[in-house]
Amino acid sequence: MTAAKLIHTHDLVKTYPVADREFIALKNVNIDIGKGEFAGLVGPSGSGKTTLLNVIGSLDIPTSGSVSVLDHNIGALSHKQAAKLRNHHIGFIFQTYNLLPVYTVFENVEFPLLLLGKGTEERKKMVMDALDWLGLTEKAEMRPAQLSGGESQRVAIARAMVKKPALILADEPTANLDAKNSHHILKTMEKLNAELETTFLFATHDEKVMQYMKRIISLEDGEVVKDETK
Amino acid sequence: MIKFLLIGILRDRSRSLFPILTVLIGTALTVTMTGYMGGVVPDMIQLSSHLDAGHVKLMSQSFYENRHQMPLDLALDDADGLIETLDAQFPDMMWKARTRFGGLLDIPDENGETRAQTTVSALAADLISPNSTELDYLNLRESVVEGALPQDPFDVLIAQAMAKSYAINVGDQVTMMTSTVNGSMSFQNFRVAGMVVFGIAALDKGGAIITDIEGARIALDMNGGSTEILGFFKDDEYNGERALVVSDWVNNNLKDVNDPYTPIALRFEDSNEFGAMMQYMGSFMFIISAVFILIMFIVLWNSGLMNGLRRYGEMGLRLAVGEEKGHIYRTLLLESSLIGIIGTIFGTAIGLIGVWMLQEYGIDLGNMTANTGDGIYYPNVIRGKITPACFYIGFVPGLIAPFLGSLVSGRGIYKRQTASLFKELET
Ligand SMILES: Nc1ncnc2c1ncn2[C@@H]1O[C@H](COP(=O)(O)OP(=O)(O)OP(=O)(O)O)[C@@H](O)[C@H]1O
Ligand SMILES: [Mg+2]
Repeated sequence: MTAAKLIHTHDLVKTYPVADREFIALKNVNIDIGKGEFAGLVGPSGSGKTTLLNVIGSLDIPTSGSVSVLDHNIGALSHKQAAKLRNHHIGFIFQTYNLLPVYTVFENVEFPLLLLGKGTEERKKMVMDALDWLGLTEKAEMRPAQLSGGESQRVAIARAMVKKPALILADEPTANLDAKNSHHILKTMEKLNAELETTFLFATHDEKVMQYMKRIISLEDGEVVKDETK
Repeated sequence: MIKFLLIGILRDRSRSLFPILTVLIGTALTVTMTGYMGGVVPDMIQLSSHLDAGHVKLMSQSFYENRHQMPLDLALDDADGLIETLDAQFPDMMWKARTRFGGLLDIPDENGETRAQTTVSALAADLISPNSTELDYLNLRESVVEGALPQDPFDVLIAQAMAKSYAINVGDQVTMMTSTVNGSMSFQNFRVAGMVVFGIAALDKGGAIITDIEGARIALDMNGGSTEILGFFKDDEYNGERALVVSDWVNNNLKDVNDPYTPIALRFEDSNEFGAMMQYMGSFMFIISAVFILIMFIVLWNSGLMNGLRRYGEMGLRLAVGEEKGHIYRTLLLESSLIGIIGTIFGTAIGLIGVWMLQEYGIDLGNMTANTGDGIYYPNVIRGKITPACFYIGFVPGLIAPFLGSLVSGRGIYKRQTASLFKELET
């Protein structure tokens, strides 16, 4: 294991209490993801993809085993430390409810920078750069309801990348999009991955998405059953 | 961040409109109530002091002790002399002798035979000496609806209601049968100079008759005396502390414990139920305000919970972006404080309009205002007054209620596990 390992899990187990017993959502997951990877978690519904992403994203903690992300031990982080890790280093993209509906495209992308305490001028520059990157400059003053699904997802990518995080976690980012838009989104992410060396980890069961992945980690019933690098 | 929250409040009407309306209604009512009290209480003090209690009232010790029987024989026998002393001692005050007495009014027919008789309560005050303030303080100039003000010590004014029921006309002779200070019977003829409607239900309902103090002194054989002396600050502003200085001086310097006719002085708030009433009103206001705050709190707490449910997606997203739970909670508090401020500003403005209308137009409660019998008079037309308190009082409930509301409703979000809060946005 080298310093290039961005994510490292060791015998990661996640269980949920269901009725009077424990439901095992993740079973001894051992994976390593290096800097600059473009990897996908695939598997049937309920196989634990979202659960794994959430633990890696420090939104949830492991029941046992360990997860380290950027040399932070997720299980040992306080709420504050976890928030700080997400704020500085991790970008999220979800399937739905990605944008705050009352705010404009500009304001949505600006939000993480506001939390980082950046000054007005710097924020403006960074937001406009990110929007430019995603071809959204024209839409800056629009509200999410006025955007198409593909545009909304691009805004979500802009928000995830505006702070130039080391890691972007994307949970079914194309599930609501048609083939053309999916393609466009994934191309954009590939470009980000190539130019900024941003590490991407996806969760998907969409065959079309899998084609773009350079590495596919298959989950079944919470277990890693296959891990292939193209 | 405040700008960010303000944008959210202004754009998301469903988030802000209902809470703002709640705060608006609550503060508008609070401000209106404050303005109402601010108008009614001074009006009540002025009216009651003018009509009955003065700012300071002097009576003889024994008259005071038996005041409910109005014992004329216990009146101050040298009221005029006392007034001279008091005038010299307190140049910022003026003093008026008044006498209250009861009797039987005999209404004769054209032959001079008794046509009707009725008991009356009479008030004697200085009605005819030039520059006497009594005509104004008793509001007689405006109250005379028929006839004219008295010109002669034996002219009287009578309540119009009584005049109507006994078919008395202006210019008629009436006879007052009463007993003098010495206990002997007295019959005095008076001429009805005018009829009055006070606009104060308590006065208009009873059989009231108003005579000049000199005429009454002759009828009652009490030269230079009176049952009471009322002292008024010349600026007509009652102030309990100033009044206390005056009553203390009288009680320390003029009082002679061995003399039953010794004068004693009572402040406005001590000579009637006013003190107790102010306390009562104070606690009433306090309870009303507390109830307002409580209702607003419950409403805002609930709408905070509803908003919390509706905004799970937003909360989850903000958590994912790296906002701390504590920070989200604090922004919720800040947000509700902003909502409180906005609601209070509008509520105060509306409340002020309400008070202004009360001030300009008043509400005529007419016969609803009954005399409580404790020497406190309410004007028939209730008027509010825009006092300085009207401008800031709304902020107390307007800020406390929404803050407490989201303090409680926000706890749920705060206590929730990040992951489960977050999961709800996926469903
Ligand atoms: N909070 C929870 N309590 C109980 N069980 C849970 C909880 N969260 C997830 N699970 C269970 O864990 C399992 C894995 O869920 P997860 O959301 O990770 O699946 P997934 O692979 O993302 O599925 P999909 O493709 O449908 O999104 C599921 O069976 C789910 O019911
Ligand atoms: Mg999932």
